[in-house]
Amino acid sequence: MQAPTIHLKLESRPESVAMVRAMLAGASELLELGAELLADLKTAVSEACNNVVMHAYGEASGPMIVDFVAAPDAVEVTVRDCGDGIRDSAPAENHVGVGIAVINALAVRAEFLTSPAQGTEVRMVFAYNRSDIAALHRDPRETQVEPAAVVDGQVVLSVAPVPLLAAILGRLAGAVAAQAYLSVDRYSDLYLIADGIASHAAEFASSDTISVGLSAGARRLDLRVGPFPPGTASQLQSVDPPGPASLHTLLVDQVSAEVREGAETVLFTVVDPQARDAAER
Amino acid sequence: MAEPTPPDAVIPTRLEISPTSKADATVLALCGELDIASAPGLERALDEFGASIPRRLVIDLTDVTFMDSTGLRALLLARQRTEDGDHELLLRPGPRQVQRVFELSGTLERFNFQNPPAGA
Repeated sequence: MQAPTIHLKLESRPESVAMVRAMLAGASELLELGAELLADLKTAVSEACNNVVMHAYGEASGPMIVDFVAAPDAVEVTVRDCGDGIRDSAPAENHVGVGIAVINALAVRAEFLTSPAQGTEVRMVFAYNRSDIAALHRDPRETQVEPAAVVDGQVVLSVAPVPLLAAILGRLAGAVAAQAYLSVDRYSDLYLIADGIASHAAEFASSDTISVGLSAGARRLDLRVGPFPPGTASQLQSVDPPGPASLHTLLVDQVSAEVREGAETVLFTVVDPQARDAAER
Repeated sequence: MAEPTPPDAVIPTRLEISPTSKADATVLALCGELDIASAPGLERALDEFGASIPRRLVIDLTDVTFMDSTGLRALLLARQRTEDGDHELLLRPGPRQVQRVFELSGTLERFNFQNPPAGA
């Protein structure tokens, strides 16, 4: 039986690190990791992400990949980039040293792997004891988060098992929405929309892993979710009369589907009314 | 005149910096996350004092929900500017996670912490 697993791929920008913490907060809530471990996770993982943002790609940005695995006796978080590795010419900035010291102090084990061809990887293990954590699995079949997600987006989240999504998507969507300048009303709608998407995912997902690609545009947010069996989007649109389960489809502005290799990805688009008003004027 | 509040002002990941000047001190109250995205904002707020940095500067961390080493660096810069003998920097301690960053980085002793007055 495999442990709950989360894969998050983002752009190495300063604003992205808060999204990683949003993911950790959601996972911690569902898995009942406790406030102290969550604080340690946020502190250490943020330092590893800061290093990616500041050093992996020079002045540019690139992929920042965070993998989270909750085993019964430990949480393992890996932060990776595809940069040039830690360069000899990197200035010996004090805060980098502080960041590494903080990681070493909080993780029971921390490994720093770097190579020019494969970027840098920081693997951190945090101890705790929750022997019942495997009970979260509804299905003991092989559970594997695939690195190549079926969706794309500025931020791509993959979780296994699927029910993990309920705890993480609302927080992550909120953090991504900060980039889209959504209004307060739409911002609070997002939590309802995320809840609805997560409950549909738990019901209809066609595998043990569900992926969500989030992209923030000018006052809009796109959420691509999959894989689902073909026909899921039209099923969501045709719920009549709309019940609580379809609430999120009333709040989103557009639902559409894309079928690729026998699986469907559903695109939920949230547009801010203010942005629409401005366009109509 | 205050600018209209941008729609993202309520997003919890942002850091709000509220300055208050009193007879004996200027207080910068921070609310939110002091991290790699927001620390430059604190550094800019300190820059705005220019040469007229208050004689007694209090940075209130009570409502800081998260701090990392880049936030710590901004506070160390504030300390640097106020260590000439004519100025004083005081910190009001933050929650456990914030204080832990001072402890783990070995910088706790480099700051003067002030407890908020009772009933404040």
